[in-house]
Amino acid sequence: MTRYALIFNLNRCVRCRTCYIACKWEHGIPFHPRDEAHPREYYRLRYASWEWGSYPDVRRAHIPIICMHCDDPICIDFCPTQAIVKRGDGIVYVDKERCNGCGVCVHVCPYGALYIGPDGKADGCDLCVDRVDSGLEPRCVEECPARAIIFGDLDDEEGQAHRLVSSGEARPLLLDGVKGTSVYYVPSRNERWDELPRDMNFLKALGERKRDLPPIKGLIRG
Amino acid sequence: MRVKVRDGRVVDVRGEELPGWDGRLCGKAFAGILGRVYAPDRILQPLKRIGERGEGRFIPCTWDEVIEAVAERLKRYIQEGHPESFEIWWGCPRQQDNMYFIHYWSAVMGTGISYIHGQVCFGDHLVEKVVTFGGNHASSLVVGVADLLRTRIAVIAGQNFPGTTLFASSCAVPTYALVNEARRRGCRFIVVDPKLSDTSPWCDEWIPIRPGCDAVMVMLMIKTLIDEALIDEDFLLRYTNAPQLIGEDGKAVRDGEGRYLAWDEESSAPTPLPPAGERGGITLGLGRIFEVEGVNGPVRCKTALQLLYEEAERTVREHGWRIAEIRERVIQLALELGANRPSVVVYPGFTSGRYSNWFQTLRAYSALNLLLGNIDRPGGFYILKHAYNLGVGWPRPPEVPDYLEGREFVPGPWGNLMDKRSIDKAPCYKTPRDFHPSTQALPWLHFKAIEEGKIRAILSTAENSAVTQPDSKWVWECLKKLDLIVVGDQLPKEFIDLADYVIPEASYIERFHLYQRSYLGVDDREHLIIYMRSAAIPPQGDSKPLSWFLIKVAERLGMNRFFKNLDLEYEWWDRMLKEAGLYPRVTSRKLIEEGPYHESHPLEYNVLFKPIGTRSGRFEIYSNELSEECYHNPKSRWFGNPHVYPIPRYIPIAEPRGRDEFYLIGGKAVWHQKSATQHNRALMEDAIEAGCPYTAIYINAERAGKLGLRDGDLVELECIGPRSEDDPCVIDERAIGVRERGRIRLTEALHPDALWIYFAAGHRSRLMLKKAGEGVVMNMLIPYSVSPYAGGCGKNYSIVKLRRVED
Ligand code: SF4
Ligand code: SF4
Ligand code: SF4
Repeated sequence: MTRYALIFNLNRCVRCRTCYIACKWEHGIPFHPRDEAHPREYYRLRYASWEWGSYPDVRRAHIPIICMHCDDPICIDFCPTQAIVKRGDGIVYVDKERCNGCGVCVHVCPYGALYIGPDGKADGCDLCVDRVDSGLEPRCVEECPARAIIFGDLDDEEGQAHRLVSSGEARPLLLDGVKGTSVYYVPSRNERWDELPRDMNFLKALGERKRDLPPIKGLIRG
Repeated sequence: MRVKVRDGRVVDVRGEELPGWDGRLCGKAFAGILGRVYAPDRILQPLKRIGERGEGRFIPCTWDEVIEAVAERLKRYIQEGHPESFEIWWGCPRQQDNMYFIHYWSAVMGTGISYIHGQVCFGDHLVEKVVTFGGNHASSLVVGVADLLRTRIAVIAGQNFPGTTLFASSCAVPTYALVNEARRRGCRFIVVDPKLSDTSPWCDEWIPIRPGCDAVMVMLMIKTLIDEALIDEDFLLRYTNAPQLIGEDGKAVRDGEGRYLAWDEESSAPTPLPPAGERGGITLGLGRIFEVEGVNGPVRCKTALQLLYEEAERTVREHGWRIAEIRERVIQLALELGANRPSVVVYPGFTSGRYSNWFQTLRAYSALNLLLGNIDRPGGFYILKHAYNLGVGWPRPPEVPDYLEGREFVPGPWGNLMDKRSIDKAPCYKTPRDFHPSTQALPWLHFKAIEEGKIRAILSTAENSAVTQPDSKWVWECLKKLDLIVVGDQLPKEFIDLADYVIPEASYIERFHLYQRSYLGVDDREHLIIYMRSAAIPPQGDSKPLSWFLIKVAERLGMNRFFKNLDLEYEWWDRMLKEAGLYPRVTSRKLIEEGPYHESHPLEYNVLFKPIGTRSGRFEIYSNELSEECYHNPKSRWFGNPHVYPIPRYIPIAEPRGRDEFYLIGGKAVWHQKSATQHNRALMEDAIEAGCPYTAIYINAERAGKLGLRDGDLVELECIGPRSEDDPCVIDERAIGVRERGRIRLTEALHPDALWIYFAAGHRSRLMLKKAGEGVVMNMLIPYSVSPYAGGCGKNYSIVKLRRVED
């Protein structure tokens, strides 16, 4: 079996934002800040960042956030057209043919990982499934200049991904109600993982994304 | 960087397969293609102004019209005997069409040329390194090249570390590789900065410093190291002028032959300071007074090191309170640095001219490093040993008619040549000098020359002086007085709003340039690469390289003979490769077709690989140059000025006083680099910023609380200082009273005395992205200050009053 995992090593991440841009480049996601033609910003990967402590004992965390490829995705539960698919290897992706753009998944995903793209369909990180299926690494992994992103098969016992996850060095970022994911983080040696607040400010930003969506009536778990 | 082109369009980009890159790039490489080369509002045809200057209203015109307008103007200046009334202003060697060619053109035509942005960027930092370490050692030290794989503690001051450091090379990618490997091997990174910047939490510790007080901190470290006997005595005796004898009058004592002296312990007599590398029997003389027989009787003297110690003691006694909150930590850190020497580095950051006292602050940082003995030692700073002398590629007679006759050219920025009589160079070559020859430009003199009617037309390329110089109000007023402004670029910016003509320049992947770069790799070797940037795609729309335009202007003036056979794509660069002795092994064509030329060498620690180019032939804690050229020279305009005191000195800067007054300081964002990126759509998204909004004014949360301010409040900043009465370095205070608006962002990660913004976070051009206009135009709020001799243009030196305004 294959169980893919993507790991952000926050010890190495220099917060350069290359993964953000490389992902948008790879997937042709438009860049248009404050542009009439594109009222919202679109992205598969974004950053959550917050500070804690008080001056001068302050810490700041910066964490790339993507679709976590949940073990038991709540987005799938709620999608009325069964457009979201979870593969046996763990990859979650949106089947554009089936998606009707209702935006329910955008509302229910606890990580704010999905968005409605300019084509009116839901979209989010698919771990670069086409690249992975043709034997390449995801684009963000290939581009990260700090080599802070690791991709691999957890069932490959020789692999780095297996080592990092099985040793507990890499851990999932579990928000309320999520039991397990395919995305992991190696905490920075300067940040205590347990101190990271769980009501992260990217959830606030998620509100921004939802603002322009049509109201959803009576969410029903599929 | 390699680009993949399909049907004439770039479809992908990759890094080079070179150590440190291994095929990788940073996000800005993608953003350049998306947000510059193919930006929807890229300027693709020449434009002519129709509205008022500054309004940004244009109609399309032909190249011919612009060529004619410039030629006509230049012809008139030539006839009047003043071709130098026309100037080219340039700003960045990487964003620039053939920089050697534009200097050649200017030499032939007799026009002015100025690297006007360079001085604001790093000019006074380079001066400091040349003054302290000499020209042969300065360039590695100014970018802070360090043997990081062996470094135990790296202290980085005031830089968005590791985001915008140079350390390994001027591209971020090999730097990231190196710092990560250093960290993996146990190096501790400590950042000293008023702001815990976006990227610095990657570091292990933040020491918040009050703006302008770095020198107090460094003096405390110097005092601690000397008190605890943690200095590298052998290094100081061999390679520095710490043992040099200085008389009671503060001047160096010399023997009958004019040689600098030291004290020989064995003979208990003065002896000429030995050549670098030798220590003989000389002493550092701490705590001692020596008597030397001078021409007019005995002179009491002390060593340079003793004077430094006394200066440090005095500074700590009188000004220690300014850093009281970090005092204990600084002492502790000094002990740690001393215990781990020489495998430690204390790097003050690359960009400079932050406050008027920055030159002396840099001198203090250098003195600290010298005490730690960390220059070209394992784990310390590393001096790159390999580089080719590529020259400038200028064609020489008989290929072209003689143009050098009767003129003297002196070294300019980035190896260029400049006329010795030019605005930037004349003050550096008079006796005594007003400014150091390593200054990159003397921008304020150009603004004054415009006011005096001596400069009447500007062609600006790859720079945006309209808002990237301090005191934009002054600069803006000057620019409006010009007869003619022509601005070349790909994207909108303020200078374009002011232009009479806008020329659409070919972008960096639509033209040719050769570059050389040396850096340290994670493989523990020194690498040297020479590479060509070539036209991967044709110039888009009606755009052309600047050099094409300049040649057309010259043709119209009957100067074709200097340009007619020039091949700017290949031959120009081959001439440089010949100069370096690399041709035909390496040719421009091969570099384009086969990729960069690369060589690598094992590390070699050898301070004396080249002579130390200072007056004493040693690294100078006491600067003989500053003493002789300036401080003790009654003919110098800087006679007795503390900014040129030969021993590093802390000079207090003007201060905010009221509860609503702050320093306004700025820094770079890792995902933005230069002012050229502030209109890049791919970089200007909200989502990329995470919790660090690009256009916000950051304020310490407690200070905000006391003023009743909340996150997101709209505030007005009014510039209230520094005034020339508070600081004589201030030469223009038109900024006082200027107001700018923006929204505040509360943070714990900022010194309470400071407000912080991203450099160039705000713009005033109507043509730019709406978001670019939401921030504060920082340079509107900075009075123009110039530090003596080094010419630093205090780009972080502003005091503002803050008040909330209704939305
Ligand atoms: S590309 Fe790598 S180093 Fe840069 S932000 Fe992403 S994970 Fe961090
Ligand atoms: S992170 Fe969100 S979008 Fe991704 S699988 Fe989980 S619920 Fe679905
Ligand atoms: S794996 Fe692919 S889709 Fe997901 S964030 Fe990385 S580049 Fe984007």
